[in-house]
Amino acid sequence: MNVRKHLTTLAMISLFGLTACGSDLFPAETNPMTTVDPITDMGVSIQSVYGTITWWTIGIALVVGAMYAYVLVAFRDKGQTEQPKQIHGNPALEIGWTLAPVVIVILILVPTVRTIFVLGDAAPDDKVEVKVIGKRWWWEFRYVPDGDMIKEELVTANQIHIPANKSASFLITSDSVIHSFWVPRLGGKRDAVPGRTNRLWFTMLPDCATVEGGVEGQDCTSMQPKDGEPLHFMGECAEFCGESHAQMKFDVFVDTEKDFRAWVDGMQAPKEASDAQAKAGKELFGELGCGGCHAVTGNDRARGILGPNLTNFGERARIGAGIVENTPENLKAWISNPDGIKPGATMRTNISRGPKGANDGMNVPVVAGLSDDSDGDGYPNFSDDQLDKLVAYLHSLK
Amino acid sequence: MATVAPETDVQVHHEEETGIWSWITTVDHKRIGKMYLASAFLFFLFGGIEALIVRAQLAVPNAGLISAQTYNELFTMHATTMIFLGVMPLSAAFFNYLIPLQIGARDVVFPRLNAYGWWIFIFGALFIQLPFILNLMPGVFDGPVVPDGGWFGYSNQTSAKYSPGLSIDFWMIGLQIVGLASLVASFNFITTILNLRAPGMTLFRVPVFTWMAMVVNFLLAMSLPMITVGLLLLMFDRNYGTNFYTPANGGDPLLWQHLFWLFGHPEVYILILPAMGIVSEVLPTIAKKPLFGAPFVIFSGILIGFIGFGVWSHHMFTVGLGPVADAAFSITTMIIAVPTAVKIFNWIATLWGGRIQFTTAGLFAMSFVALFTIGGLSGVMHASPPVDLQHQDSYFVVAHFHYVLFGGAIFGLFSGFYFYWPKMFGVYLNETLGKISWAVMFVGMNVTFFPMHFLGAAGMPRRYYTYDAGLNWDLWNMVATAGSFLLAIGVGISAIAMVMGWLKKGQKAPADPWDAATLEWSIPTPVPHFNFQTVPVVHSDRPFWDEKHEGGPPVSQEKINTDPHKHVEMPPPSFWPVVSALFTGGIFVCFMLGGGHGAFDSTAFLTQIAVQVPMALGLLVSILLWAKEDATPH
Repeated sequence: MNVRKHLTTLAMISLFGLTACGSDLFPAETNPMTTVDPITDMGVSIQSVYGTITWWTIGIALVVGAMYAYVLVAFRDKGQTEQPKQIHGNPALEIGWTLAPVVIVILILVPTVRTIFVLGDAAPDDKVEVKVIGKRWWWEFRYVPDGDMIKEELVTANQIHIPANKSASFLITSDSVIHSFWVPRLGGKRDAVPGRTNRLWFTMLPDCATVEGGVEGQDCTSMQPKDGEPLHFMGECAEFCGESHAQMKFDVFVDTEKDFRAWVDGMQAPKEASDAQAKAGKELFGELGCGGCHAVTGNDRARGILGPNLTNFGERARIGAGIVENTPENLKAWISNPDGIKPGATMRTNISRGPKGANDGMNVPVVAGLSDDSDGDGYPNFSDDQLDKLVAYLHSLK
Repeated sequence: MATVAPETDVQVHHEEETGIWSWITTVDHKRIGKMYLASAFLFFLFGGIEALIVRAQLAVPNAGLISAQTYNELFTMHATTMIFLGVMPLSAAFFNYLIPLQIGARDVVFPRLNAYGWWIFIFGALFIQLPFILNLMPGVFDGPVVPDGGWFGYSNQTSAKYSPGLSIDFWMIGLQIVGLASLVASFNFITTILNLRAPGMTLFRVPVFTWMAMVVNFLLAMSLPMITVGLLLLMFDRNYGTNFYTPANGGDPLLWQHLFWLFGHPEVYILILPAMGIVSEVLPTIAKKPLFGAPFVIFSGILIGFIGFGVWSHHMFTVGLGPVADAAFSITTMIIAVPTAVKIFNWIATLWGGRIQFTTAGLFAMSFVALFTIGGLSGVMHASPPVDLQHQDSYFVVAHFHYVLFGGAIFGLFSGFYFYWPKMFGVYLNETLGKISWAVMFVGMNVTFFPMHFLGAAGMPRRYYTYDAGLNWDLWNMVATAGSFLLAIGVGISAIAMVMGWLKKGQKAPADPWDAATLEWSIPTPVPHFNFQTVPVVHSDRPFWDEKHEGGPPVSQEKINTDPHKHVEMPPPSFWPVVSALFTGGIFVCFMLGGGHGAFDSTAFLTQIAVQVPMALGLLVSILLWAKEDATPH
């Protein structure tokens, strides 16, 4: 029984050990959110410490586990009658096994402390800087003008584009409760604390030899975006922030320099809706008052700041802060019943409850006569025709 | 002291008192210990059921078993219940029952204060759980009533703005009440250990369990004020419109995190050190050897207690305290690994060369060492801030602390149940059920919590009520859920054994069933009301062992008690502790009335004061009557 118990323990410990071969056991192909297959300098530095400590812990676990298993088997009661020798201790031995962990701890602390300060370095000048604002429960991203490509602040939501050829620097804060900004494959997380700004920056791997903890000759550039084929990563909120904490995700696209420039240009000069259905949708969007909360660059009737900015919404991968794919069906379902899809979503309550509602006190009235509110919840019951038009408009924004 | 000529056999004096009134007014540390045991074990089962619902919801992606709100309530209440109403009071059960017996005392220093502590605890515990009953009355309350901000209750999620309704109020006021219970108990135990030791019991002859209890109670006395301050500031923010944690008005939500973890990290050692103490008693006994290097084990415990106050910010590596703070707290955290490792080596060395008996208590204690080692090692991993940037708030952390708290604290406490039950109740817990329970729990525990390392490595954050398919989280979540139900079966088997044991169904136990070394085994079973008719003189750290096996001076009652009719005076029962506790709890509950939902509401405040003042007067009067009560032993 006990032998089996300790075989189980040993098996468990060896399994534990396997987690150290992170990128082999949790490869990005099958684990999109893997924490052990990073592709940035920051991620590689973390991974280097992570690996060192993991091997130490596995080694210790195996040695101690084997010793312990031996003791339990060798010194089990075999029915002998004599009393075991009454040993009260052995100071030399005890000092020895006090010093051994001290040495190991020092060996772990050296790379740890060095990496802490590497990660704390200032970001390089050649970077794209993005302000990240954690909302309940979605993300706002504001691109800081760089005096070159980005002329004035670009505002978007729940989806970021960054170029592969520059560093990306995030200035992270919150307008509400504490959130945490985490894209596991791009490196560690940072909390979004209201009243504070935290910085997180990284560079897509240009050359491993230049990275703290990176190995010279290691191929760090195996993944590079191609024109029209950006790399896609998913981010998530990692600090409990209330009801829809689990539904606060976002998408990150790493573009080639050319694609990124095209995206920035598209955000700065968005195209106008062209076909009739989309134009009708734009009209309806304005009349229903959607623009009271949502801003769309180029639409004068959409200047709201309460909800996500919808500029170039048509190119977003997912809706509702990374919940569902951005298909016409999903978008219709979302517009009709947002808090049915995402608990706590305030699109309905902000309209129906008004200034004293759950959110920040902007009142967005339903325009009388335009929409049906037969269920009396204060939120429009959209007709199929209205939904078609709105979706046509929103999906034309790209 | 007047001597009374005894006419009856004093052995049965007081023992015959039964009935509910005798339990309500008891000041006997053994009865209070059993009251802690029963109440805390029920809360432990309740917290387990909450965890099972959480695991059921996570078994498959996009499950719709419970809503996001209910999920948040359940994980909040699971942790709050397990920590404050399960593990801490289960430890208190052992403190109460064992400390006086281990040091050769007839009770604690302040028996009535001890009773007062339990009544405050049960009052606060029921108050924290009350929202589940209120929740059955939909529409009566505006907003959620069951606490839903996490056991850590991070500001400003808990502010009136983001948590309207009564949910956080129940949590913050309930925790202040149970905190008070632990605080009064801690003073009692510290003074008891320091003052009531039998003659000859120098500090290094104090049994290791009692030593760990002393460390824990110092930790409680020094760390509980921190969370109490934090909770008071929160209460002022929510009730009276102050802005301690409101960033928009100059407050700082990180102030809460510092105050909370200044308590919260010592709390981790408050949870684990009692179990370490139990294991340090069980392992030598089953190996028939002394604890290897007892002074090292004791000093390690003290050191863990001290350093435990200097590591709190390792819970905050992602909040942006800067590289210097991160490095400093990383270093202190890793230093704690050293005394912890020393303890593990000394336990293994204790077993080395022994004659190990595989009793149920022994199996739980031996598993403790293995599981705690795994949990300790994964803890060293996220003591490194860079690694923690990937671990923090992921399932890797959940795996880590369940190895420490379930594989550690709970396994240690279960070892204590099986080990001390014969002394407490006069019967063994059923060893067959015990061994089956141990095996199922051991497998269930590993199947539940080991896969969470994988989930963490695959990037699954904690506190998610749902997750998408296709992230490679499905398999291990399903495995963990299956394991949790296995674990529940294992706990259930032990619960059956404990109910049987409580009803004294089972094999009758002798006074010294395990051939143990310390004083508690030298007195008769059932333990007389006064514990020690004649207080023994102690000459070593294993007085009873030495008497039995080494020809040492006698300590057992039949050897040293020459007059079996000697009268022992004990403090009489009192109902002032329960009355005072009711008024004390009432004073706190009045704060529920004063809530201004983030602003000062003079009407609500005056209502609160109007009810609170009579409560305070009631407390004052009951304390005066308590003080005037004739409590001289008789």
